[in-house]
Amino acid sequence: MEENCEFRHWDELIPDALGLIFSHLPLQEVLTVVPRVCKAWNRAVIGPYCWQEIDIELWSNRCQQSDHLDRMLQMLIHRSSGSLRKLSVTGLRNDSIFSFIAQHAGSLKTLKVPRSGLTNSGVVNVAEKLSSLTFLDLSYCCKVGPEAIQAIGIHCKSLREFCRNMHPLDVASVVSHDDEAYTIANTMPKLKRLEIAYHRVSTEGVLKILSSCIFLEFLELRGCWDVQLDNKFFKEKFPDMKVLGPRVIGFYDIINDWEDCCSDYFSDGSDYLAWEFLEDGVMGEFYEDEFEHGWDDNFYADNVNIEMEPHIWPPSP
Amino acid sequence: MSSNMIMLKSSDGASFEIEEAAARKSKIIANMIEVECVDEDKAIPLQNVTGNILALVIEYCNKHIVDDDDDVATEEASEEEEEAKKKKVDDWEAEFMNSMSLETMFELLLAANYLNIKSLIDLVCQTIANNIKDKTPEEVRKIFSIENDFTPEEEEEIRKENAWAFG
Repeated sequence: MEENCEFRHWDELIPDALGLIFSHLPLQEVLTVVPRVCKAWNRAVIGPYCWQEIDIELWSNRCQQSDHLDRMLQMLIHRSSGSLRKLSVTGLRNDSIFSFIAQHAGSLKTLKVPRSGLTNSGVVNVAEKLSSLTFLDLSYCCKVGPEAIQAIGIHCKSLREFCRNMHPLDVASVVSHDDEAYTIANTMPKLKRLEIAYHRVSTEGVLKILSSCIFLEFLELRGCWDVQLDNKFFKEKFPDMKVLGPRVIGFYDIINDWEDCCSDYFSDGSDYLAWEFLEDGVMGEFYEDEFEHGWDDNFYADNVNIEMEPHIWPPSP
Repeated sequence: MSSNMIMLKSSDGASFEIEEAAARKSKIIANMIEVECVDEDKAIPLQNVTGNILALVIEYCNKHIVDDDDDVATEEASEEEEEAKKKKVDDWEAEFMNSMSLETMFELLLAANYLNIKSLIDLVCQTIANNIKDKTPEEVRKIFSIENDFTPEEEEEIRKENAWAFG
């Protein structure tokens, strides 16, 4: 009796609950092990409940073939059936796959596409479809600039968190990012969190952001060497804001050291390795936090999702 | 700290007294408290949760309400302290889940969903997922007592389907 009971449970557990369990597994196991267990589990993996939040960052970091990346995104986004709330992927090769994502972004709140080859026009063309976004990460996307940011700012009125960190090597030839800073100030006044590490932004650029984005609670400025604002300034003028930088301390040092000893990797163009370190490490923890916690130092506490609505499946029939 | 106590009643009639602050971990109960559906003398009936499962839920809520209080007190805590605290919570959660059967986890998941306690849902889902991790389909079936309802051909077909992505 007891055994029968358990037996019935696990393959008849409602697919939405199963989806939630499977979403805690690595992509490879969700796609190659789970569907072979039984028909009910296979159905659960094909259905939308597993794929309301798609995080294939790790897989895409290793993915060498862009057609594989596109194919995976198309398959999983189709499975999400319009219920996609969160997407995290790196290294999109072009605008067309970004456009595909945007076509299916009706419920999309969190979008992370760092290190992607998007262009300004690619972003401008589809920005209006991204209007549900509250979190956007365009870090290390070197081909986008103020035009793309302006389009996002104009169309994504709910955007509260914006990440636009750059790689020190990528900005070596950039004279100034102030145009980006002014665009952020002008079009994204409701931001609570902004990350612009290693931007070539001036003190004036940052002051403009500070005066426009009055809800700002977190500002990442590490590596913005031209910014002449110190801790004392922020403590006096913005006592409630958490500011990192412009001086580089802590784990960035580790990364800089790491780069020094791994300079080989950069010469052959595969400059991702050092940055995986960062994405998987402390930064990843930052993203998980929620504003309600006031950005205190406790990045680990009670990792609630950015979305306010509960992460719950609907009642079963 | 306010120590308002409220009563919860399980589907099989067991009553539990719990601090309001702990009960608020459940969004459903928190909502009931907000709209003042809670009569101080009366227990809140939870039709979908049995006594033994409710006891576990309450144990979890009590533990985590203490941790939340700690957060407020040590807002300026150093990184080491943060890590030590996180480890303490992790250890407690591991211990809490460790002795539980899959059957109990299943019931606890349904209860956590019904009561809308997000962190507990995540904890239980993660623990159940850990039982699937690094296993073959056959091993998973054994652990969860699931019958293989595929023909060998069907299973092979599914195996091939997504192999391209992990070559």
